[in-house]
Amino acid sequence: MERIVIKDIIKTDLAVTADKAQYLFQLLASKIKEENPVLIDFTDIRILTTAFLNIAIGELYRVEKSEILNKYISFDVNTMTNLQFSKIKMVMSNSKEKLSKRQEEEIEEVILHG
Amino acid sequence: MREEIVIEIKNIIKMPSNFILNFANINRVVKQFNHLVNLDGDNSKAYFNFADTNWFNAELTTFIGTLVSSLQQMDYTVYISKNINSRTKTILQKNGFLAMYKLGEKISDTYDSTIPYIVVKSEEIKQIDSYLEEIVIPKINYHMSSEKVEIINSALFEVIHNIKDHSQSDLVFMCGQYYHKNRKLVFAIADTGVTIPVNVQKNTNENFSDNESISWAVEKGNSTKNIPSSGLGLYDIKENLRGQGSLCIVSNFAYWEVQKSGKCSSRELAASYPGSLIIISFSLDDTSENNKYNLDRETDGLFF
Repeated sequence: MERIVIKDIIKTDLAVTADKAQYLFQLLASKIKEENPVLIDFTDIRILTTAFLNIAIGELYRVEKSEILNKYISFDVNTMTNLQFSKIKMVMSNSKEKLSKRQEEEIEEVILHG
Repeated sequence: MREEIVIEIKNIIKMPSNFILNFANINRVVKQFNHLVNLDGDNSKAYFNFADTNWFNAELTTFIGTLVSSLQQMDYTVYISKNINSRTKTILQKNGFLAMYKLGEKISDTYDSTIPYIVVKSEEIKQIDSYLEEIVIPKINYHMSSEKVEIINSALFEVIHNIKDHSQSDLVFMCGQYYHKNRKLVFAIADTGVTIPVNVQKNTNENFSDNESISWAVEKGNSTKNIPSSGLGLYDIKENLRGQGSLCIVSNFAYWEVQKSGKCSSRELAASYPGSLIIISFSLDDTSENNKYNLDRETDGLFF
């Protein structure tokens, strides 16, 4: 399985900006499309913000369903701090919750308006 | 900003005598600020009077800095009264505020408790990081766990990005203070762009008051951004501070705060503050609340 070391990809130990997050998101999305499983490595990432994770990880829920994402994207939890682990978990749960809410609304709209 | 003897009483913003962070002090100053900018006649000068300010919480320099900047954006020439209280003057000299506006030289900080006042472009990530890593964190001459340092750094970056995203403001104003005796670090970050309530009200269909807008913005998943997964920045800060410190947000007419215990309160300002000011107070003692990060990563794992 290919290991994606975030620090090498974004060329900094600060995972904070939207443009760096977008770059990582595109890379991960392309790996899913190519059906190429990857392991994400957070080694030496000093600062990680939810703003970064929302784009890099949260947006993946719009690319594929959870089961497909789990098939191709894995996390090396030993390379992250407790705070980073907690943030990633929070972003994933929030994205999943919001997406299912949105889908419910869409279904409701179809039922109501045909 | 110039130093000058005050003559025109009507153009003065008189600073509180005990200028700590509380509703009364912020309300009093923003009321005077609004009165001044709404005056008829010659509106070219504004004076800040610190003559009676015997105590000044250094982190509130950020608040003053945003008012000065707003006045300058409205083409005011801003002055500071010559008869500034010596204690307050020392604080403003130590943190570089007076030097930035060419009102005096910067003096050294004997007690190593001052975090310099800076105004930086919000996209200058490296400069912000250097400020936090080389100036803010090393100044804590007190043992802290690496986890605590990470929480502080992370919260500051979350706020900076939140401010940048909400306000579309180019500049971020920052300053802080260590209170060695109380074992706490207080840090203030502000901007003079679109306020949080205005942004929330514009992007939701709710008829929120300004304080309700802040309450909405700090809840999990609520965001004005068009990214489904967004809406965690302020929520994350609020949750990370539970048992660790407090958070105060002043924006437009809102004065909103959450205590260390998690208890929230708010009051409406009598006049609007022209931006967003976020003040975070971190307790430097490690508390049992840290246990919330002791997650079993091996067992829990991370799955989509």
